Amino acid sequence: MSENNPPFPPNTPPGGGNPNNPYGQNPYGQNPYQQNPYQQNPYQQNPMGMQQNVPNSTAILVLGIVSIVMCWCYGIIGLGCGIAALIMAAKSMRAYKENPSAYTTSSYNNAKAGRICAIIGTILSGLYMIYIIVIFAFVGTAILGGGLFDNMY
Amino acid sequence: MSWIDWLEQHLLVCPNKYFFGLECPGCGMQRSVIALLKGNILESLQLYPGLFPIIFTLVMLGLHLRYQYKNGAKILQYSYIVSLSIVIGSFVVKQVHLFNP
Repeated sequence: MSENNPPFPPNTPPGGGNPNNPYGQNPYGQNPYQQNPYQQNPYQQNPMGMQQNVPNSTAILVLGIVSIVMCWCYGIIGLGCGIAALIMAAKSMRAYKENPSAYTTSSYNNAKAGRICAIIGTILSGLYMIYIIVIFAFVGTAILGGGLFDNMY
Repeated sequence: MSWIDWLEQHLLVCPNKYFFGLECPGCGMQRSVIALLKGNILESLQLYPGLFPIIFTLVMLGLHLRYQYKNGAKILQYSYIVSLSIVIGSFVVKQVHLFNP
């Protein structure tokens, strides 16, 4: 942490310059690698004290809900939002199941509600897309064949 | 009031309806919003019955993300289901005339 204890010897220029730190101050004294970034890992440190949100819980909720407004776009946006939310929800649920005490209950509830919304939205968007494809097929048949069922037999 | 008129003259055309003459589940939402902005609540409801639950859901989403209500997630989930049911119901009712002309 201090300049007295650098993590590795002071950097010597490749040309064999002055090894006694020509910059006046050791630029590597505040090396970020010296601090352990895993010190604040909730998996290791007091699970009762600092609880954090389930990852992406807000995004899951928003994406799950936004898909209703996007129903005019043949179900494509709804399907995209729903699947993205489902993937994120699967990851978050797994993280929560591994260590439930590290995460806040409210964010877990958010993720759960968002997941249900995403499931419904994905199914409905998919059904709507199938409906649109069927309509496309019928319209194409009607245009090409002159009638809906003229050439069926 | 001028911006409402501006909005009314700049509605987006539904590609579904434009190319195939078929309404999509979102058709009527823009007209409904315009009617609501003008204060015609009944007309807004007739044009798009799902608008009010959708607005409630979105406002509730914003409030819940801001203030983290205790039962906010459950409320959001149920209002989402109710909104979707109303949207799908009105869509089906609008489509019925296709199948018995």
